[in-house]
This record gives sequence, structure tokens and C-alpha cells, in this order.
Amino acid sequence: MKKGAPLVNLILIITLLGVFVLFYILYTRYEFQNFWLVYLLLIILIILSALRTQPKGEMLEVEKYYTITVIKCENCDYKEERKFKRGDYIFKHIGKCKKCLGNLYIDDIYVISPRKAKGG
Amino acid sequence: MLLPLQQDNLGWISQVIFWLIFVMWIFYGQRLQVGIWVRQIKRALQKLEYMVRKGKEITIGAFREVGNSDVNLVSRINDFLEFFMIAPVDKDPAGIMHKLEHLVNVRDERFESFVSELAPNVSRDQAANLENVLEAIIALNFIYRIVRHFLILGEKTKSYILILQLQMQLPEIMKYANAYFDALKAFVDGKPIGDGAGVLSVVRFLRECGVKGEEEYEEIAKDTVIVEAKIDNRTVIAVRAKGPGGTVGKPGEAIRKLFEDKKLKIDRIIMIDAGIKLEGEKTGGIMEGVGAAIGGIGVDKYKIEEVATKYKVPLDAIIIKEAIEEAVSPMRREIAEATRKVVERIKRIINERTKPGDTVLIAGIGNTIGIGY
Repeated sequence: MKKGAPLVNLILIITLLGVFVLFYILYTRYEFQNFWLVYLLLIILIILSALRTQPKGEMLEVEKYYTITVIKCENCDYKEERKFKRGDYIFKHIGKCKKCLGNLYIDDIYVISPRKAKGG
Repeated sequence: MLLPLQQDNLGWISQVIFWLIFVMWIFYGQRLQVGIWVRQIKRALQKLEYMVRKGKEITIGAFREVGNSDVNLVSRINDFLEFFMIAPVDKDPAGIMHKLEHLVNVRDERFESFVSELAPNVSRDQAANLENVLEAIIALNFIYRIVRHFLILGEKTKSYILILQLQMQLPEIMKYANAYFDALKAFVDGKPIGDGAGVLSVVRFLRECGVKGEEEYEEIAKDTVIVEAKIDNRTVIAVRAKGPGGTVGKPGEAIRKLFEDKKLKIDRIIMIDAGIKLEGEKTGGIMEGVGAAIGGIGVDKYKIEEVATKYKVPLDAIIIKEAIEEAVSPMRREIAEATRKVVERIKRIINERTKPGDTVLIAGIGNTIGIGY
């Protein structure tokens, strides 16, 4: 269920109750006779309740991820992050460090969600 | 009277519509609800169908990439999608583990021969990845077939209960399907998956002990390697599946051989594996306990428990918490970070529960895809 769904339901119920009370006051005090509006509201309520049980789109979504490869040097504190390339694997040697000529290796490969990648 | 009847036409019409809807709701409400659920299941089924179709394309593409230009490739893969293994009879459970082991070996051989037939010129690591790709697409296809079966059965028999059960389980089913779909892509690319957390922790520990490089390891059982290291005057023997191809190896057989064939005197076994977290728990959490930390069909667990009991060796278990869908999809950052904390736990267990001069067996359990040495 979406995060705001209980709040939307509550607002819906309060609004409908408010309208009924308003009609009751209008009827008892001012002899308001247009009760077809009340029935119209009941129809809207039934349709809305049916619509709210429709499939939730988010259940069927596929979450997309970024795969990050973290490269480190065996000798110094050099660290680099880049997009994963096919053929990468953890602890693979991938050349020499530009700073100290030590061995560079892949220290980590992991996925992060796009939200986190944007700092969200 | 709160709702008196109105004389004007609009009032009458709206009253009639309301009562019609009300009566329909009473008599056909449940049927309408079932209709809504069926639509929901059909949407999920459409997505599953897409996943299977796309998954097949990925699988065929993976085989084409390694040089297979066979015109029958598509039909060969389609035929293999419904591959199954019949579990042995369990009414007479004595010796069931040997039967299971035999069946699992036969199943593994079938996968290997199928891959070597379709991709004869690939390395063992690439072949292992292709076997994993096939396993993922078979799992995905199985989910699709099961959902379709219960949907059609529910509609045919007009069974409210069947549809309800399927609809209720749909979010969980789709979670697994998404995970297998992600796993499929991960296996083609050779990315590490969550299940490899145990192996990764052990390799990190070994690298801290100075063990680096594949050449230091020795193959003891099929796709399973061991290596010896020293830490704080203790001897450490580590067991893991071969990598960086996607294998889980035979850790049970490897540990049995260390005890029975190599006759090693082992004072403690520490097993590290990815384990299922409960809802509400954080991915990458670590917990400690006792017992053989290994999943699967039970053959390896049985062998490890047998030797540990026979030689009275205490078994420590370290579990890295993750959801089941995280175990088969590409490794998340939280899990990767947890492997570093596990290294500290292993060191602590060695220091606190073993004496200098002891031999400790450390087993990293899980799929080694994307994890080197």
C-alpha cells in the first residue's frame, strides 16, 4: 500500500460524513429538498471504494540498480569507483597504481539504488 | 426523516441507480472482488511472461556471445526450461542423503553436459556462469507456470479460495521473480550475488593472513578449494568454492575429506554463510550461533554434522542477514560492508575460543560468482 493511503481514506470518510451532516442541517433548518445529491454521493463512495482496491502499480515495478566497482591499491590509499564492466570480479588485479606503482585490484562490487546514487 | 423520497425526476433516477448498485453489491460483490483480483493476477502474469521471454533472450544471447551459432539453440534452450529433479522417496528415510547426493550429482552433470554441448569453447568459470543462467531462467519459468496454473484453475473451477490465495501471495511471488530476473542478468555479467557474502568474508580474512592468489589454493573436491594460513599461532584451513565462476562447490565433501582422508586434527569449525533475515531486520546484520551454517538440499549439512559429531568438534556459525531475494540478486552495499565486519568476528572467535597451536577450519559457504582470490 502507498504511504499516504490511510490518510487519503481518512480524509475521504471525514469529507463524506461532513457532507451528510451538512445536508441534515440544511434539511432540518432550511427544509432543503435536493436529496438526489445524497444518493449521488453514495454512488461516488461505492465507485471510489471499488477503485481503491485496484492493483497497486508499484508491486509490479522492477527496481533498477547501479553496479559499482571499487578499485584500491595494495600499497597506498588510492581508491577509485567506477561503473561495473563485464569481466570485473572481486580481487581481480587490474594494473598498476598511478601514485605508487603498486598493484591495483578490485576491492568491492556492489549495487546501489538510483536514489542513493543521487545522494537521496 | 433523514432520506425522504423526492418527487422530482433527478431524485428518482439517482435513488433507483443507488438501490440498483446497492443490490448488485450485495449479490455480486464477491464476484466483483474476485474479478478485481483476477485482473491483478493477470497483470502480474503478463509481467512474468515478459520476464521469461526477456530471460530467454538473455540466455540465448549469452550462448550466442560465446560462439554458439547453432540454429537449434532456441529450441534446445526451450526444451531445457522444464528440466526437473524428482526427489527420492522419503517414506523409508534411511539412506535418503546418499540418494539425494546421487541425484544432485546427476543433475549437476546434466547441466554441465548441456552447457559444454552448447558452449564447448568456454572456460570453466564461464561455463559455471552459464549453468547459473540456466538455473535462474528455469526458476523464473517455473514461477510463471505455477502462477498461470493456479489462475486458470481458479477461473475454471470458479474457486474464490484459489484466486484469493494466489492474490494474497502475489507480492511475495513477484519479489522472487524480480530477484531471479536480476540474478539472471547478474550471472551473465558475472557480478557477485548476495549469497556469496560468506565466501567473500573468508577471502577477505585470508588476504589479511597473507593468502593472495589462486595458485595458493588446492582443489580437494569438485569445484571446492582449500588453503592453509597462520594467524596468532593458530593454523587456519579455509574451504571455499572455486571462483570467480558461479559455483557453490561441495563444502560438505571437502570437510569430510579433511577429517577422514587427510586425517587432520581440527579443534574448531567456523562456518560463514548468508542467512535469511526476518522482516524488520537490517540487511547486512551479523548474528552468531552454533551449528552447520549451510543451506541447500541438506547433503553438505549432513556430511558436516556427521564428521563434527564423530570427532566431537565444536561448530560455530556466523550468519550475514539478507532477504531471500537479496541472496540471489547482485550483492548490495550493506552486504558487501558486512563482510568486513565478519572478518573481525572470525578473528575474535579464533582468539577467544581456540588456543595457540590449535587448527581451525573456516568454511565460506555460498555462490562464488564474481569473487576471486
